[in-house]
Amino acid sequence: MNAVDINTANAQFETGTTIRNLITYAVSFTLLVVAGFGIYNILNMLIYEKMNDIAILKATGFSGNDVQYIFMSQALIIGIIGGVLGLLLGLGLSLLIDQAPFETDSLPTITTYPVNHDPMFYVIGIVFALISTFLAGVLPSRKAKKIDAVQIIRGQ
Amino acid sequence: MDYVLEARNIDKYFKKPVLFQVLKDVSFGIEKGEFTSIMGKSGCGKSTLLYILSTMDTDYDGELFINGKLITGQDQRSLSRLRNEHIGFVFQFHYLLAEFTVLENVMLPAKKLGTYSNEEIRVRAMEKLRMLGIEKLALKKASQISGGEKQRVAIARALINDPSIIMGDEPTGNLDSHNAANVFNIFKQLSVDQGLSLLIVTHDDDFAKKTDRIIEMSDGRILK
Repeated sequence: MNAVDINTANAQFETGTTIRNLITYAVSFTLLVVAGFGIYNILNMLIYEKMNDIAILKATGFSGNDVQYIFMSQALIIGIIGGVLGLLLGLGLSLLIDQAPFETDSLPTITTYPVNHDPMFYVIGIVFALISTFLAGVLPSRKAKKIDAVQIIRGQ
Repeated sequence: MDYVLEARNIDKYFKKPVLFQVLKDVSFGIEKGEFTSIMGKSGCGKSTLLYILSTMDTDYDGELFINGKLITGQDQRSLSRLRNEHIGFVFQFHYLLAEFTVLENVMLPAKKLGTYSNEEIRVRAMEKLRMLGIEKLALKKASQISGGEKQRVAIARALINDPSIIMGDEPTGNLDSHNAANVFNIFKQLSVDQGLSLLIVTHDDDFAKKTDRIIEMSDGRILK
């Protein structure tokens, strides 16, 4: 008879888990960075489309800071709505997956896919969404602030 | 002499592509209730001067006074507030915000100023629209009205904060003669009835002849 402690027996399992977690975080992070760049792109294009409107706001008495605030809020609204929708979608999917049957010898007590509903994941998710949209909004909104109203109006 | 607007020794240079002096020692004053037009050949500097007087262009030498206060050298935020409160601007192109209604467009500068409540602003905006004969367009989207109507909305918007002076950069340039005459009459009435000062850059001889005073410019100078 051989006695092996649980940590030694599960060592291989643990290593695998650590690396798999690392991969998951790396992939998620990359996806979010890509999404952030997408928002940055959209906001930049939006400013080009809205150049006339920005010029008229400035001519009417809105300051550069006001204009910057408008575009920053736009970025954050995208972040909040997108983040919340993402969390709801994630919650929905994870609840569904939680119902899916799953049996494996190495985990005899499990009958359905084991899903970790730790609220921290949701917190991390929304915080990251807000941070990445905030960062995506900084440069475009600063550009909008600096737009020279006279140049645009006379360009017509 | 109580000038609503006064320019003293204004010089301006364009730096690109080469150094070029576009305004040379420009000095003059506009009194309360004076309806003034600026005329001159293309390139004489009249529009450049107008944008300096509007506080939107701060790259010049010389001094600018509005209602007796020195404007030159103030920071962007103060200039924006000044523009909001004392200057109404009408461009050749209407520049309305297309997704908003006529009423919302007119209310916008007043909302920024923040002196009145939203309800009071709505009432005042309707008043201005009524003055210009377009109150029935109040709830229409700005993109859905005719050119002449759009320009009248732009004028209503310029008036919403009861400015000391209205500045215009060829406001009738895109209008047919009927609408152009309309715009002139509205301006004239405002200067006579409400003591509003006006400074209008124009190419339109008929328009300029009927104003109180014509400032003629050539090569960056005012011709006396």
